[in-house]
Amino acid sequence: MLSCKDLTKQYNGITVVDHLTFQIKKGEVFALLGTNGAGKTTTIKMILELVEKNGGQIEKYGEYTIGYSPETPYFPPFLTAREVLSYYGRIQGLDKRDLKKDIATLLQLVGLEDNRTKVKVYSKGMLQRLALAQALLGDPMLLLLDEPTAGLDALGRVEMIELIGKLKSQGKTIIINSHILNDMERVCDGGIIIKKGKILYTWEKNADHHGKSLEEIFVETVKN
Amino acid sequence: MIKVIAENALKERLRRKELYIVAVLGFLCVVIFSCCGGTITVDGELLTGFKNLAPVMLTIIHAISGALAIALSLHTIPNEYERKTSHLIWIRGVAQWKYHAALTLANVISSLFAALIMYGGVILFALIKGDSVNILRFLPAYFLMALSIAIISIFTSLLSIQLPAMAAGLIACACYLLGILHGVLDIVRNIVGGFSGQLLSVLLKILPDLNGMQQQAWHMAAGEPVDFHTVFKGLLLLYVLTIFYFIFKKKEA
Repeated sequence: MLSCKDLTKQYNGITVVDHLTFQIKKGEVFALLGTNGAGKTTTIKMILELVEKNGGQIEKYGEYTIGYSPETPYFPPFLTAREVLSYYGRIQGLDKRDLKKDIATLLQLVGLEDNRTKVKVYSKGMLQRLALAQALLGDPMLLLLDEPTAGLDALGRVEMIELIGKLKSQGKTIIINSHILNDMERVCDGGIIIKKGKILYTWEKNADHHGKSLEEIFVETVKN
Repeated sequence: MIKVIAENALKERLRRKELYIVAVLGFLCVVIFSCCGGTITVDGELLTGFKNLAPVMLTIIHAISGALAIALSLHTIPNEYERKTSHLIWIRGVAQWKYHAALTLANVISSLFAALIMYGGVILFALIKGDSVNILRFLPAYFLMALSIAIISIFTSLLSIQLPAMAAGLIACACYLLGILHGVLDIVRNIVGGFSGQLLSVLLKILPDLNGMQQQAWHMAAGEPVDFHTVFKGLLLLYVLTIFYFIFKKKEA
């Protein structure tokens, strides 16, 4: 569905993404793993063309729409969740009647049915859920989720992972960037561990890891 | 799409209650000018009468409205990029020029609305003191004044796409000041001559005659002949500025 070859990005002469090469198959949930500053978010932004790449290629196979849930979502604080989704849906050019129906479905899906509360009083977890809902507007085939479980409490995290599993079962291709390795191990089919912009390890769920969990592999890889 | 983004930006502006401050400023202007005493007359007209004070009031309101237009237009676009709201717009395939134009539209509307509130002060003043001036002339006069406010707002918005807010604000303020001092600078140019005179000539050619536009607004309100050449120059400048929306682009969201 998507392939990145020799993806490179530099900021002020410092390489933050260093010749990353990976492929994502249709229907796969793919994890970008790494410590802070590893280059995960920059990679996502390059795929979304939000930042210019200094080198490499990104190939998208076929025509499909992309949904994106940012790491620190900001929504106009004076709007309700329904109004936020309506705003982005209208910008996207979605049909008004369909949009109304879609918004109700999406809000129910992410557990934000209360339509009177303004975004300004939302907790970080609620904002994350709203960010996911806006990413799902227009039923995109590829989803890029930047730290979708950040700021969520234990229950919220479990619900989010279940939700991602549900989206996977609907055939969506998902790229997730996260620190919560247990969650990633549960929901992802594969992924890469990055350090200073370089791939250190390519992880596949079905491969033989000699009884090691993803967390153990991650710690071992990053520490070395 | 432009309408949707502009509407949202305007809603945010209204909720920040900046316009209430503008209304207070306008009201203060009316109070100050309405409470003027004095018995000195010029050509049978009181020095503190409507015909003498209204142009002064209009000049002050124009100056304040222009400064407000800069303040209201300076942060809208940089804020969008700072808060990364731009990410969710860019990924939806919205062209940059449309995005920036929508935000500028919100800037222009709020600047003009702020100017209208202030301008309401002049009309109120006319109602209190005026006798010979036709109040209905104030509406087209407002549109003449609005032209210069729109120019300032668009110019500031454009600068804020490419420059940090501080630099954009400084340049916008400098150009605005020189624009409202256009008439004075013209007099200085005629006096000084030489290199300074030539330099001022160049400056006066580049800078919009904001003072001229404001004067035409007063001429319209007072029922005097309006120099439409100045107005057309303003409209042409407005057109030229809009072209820059296709040129000024952000490299990254």
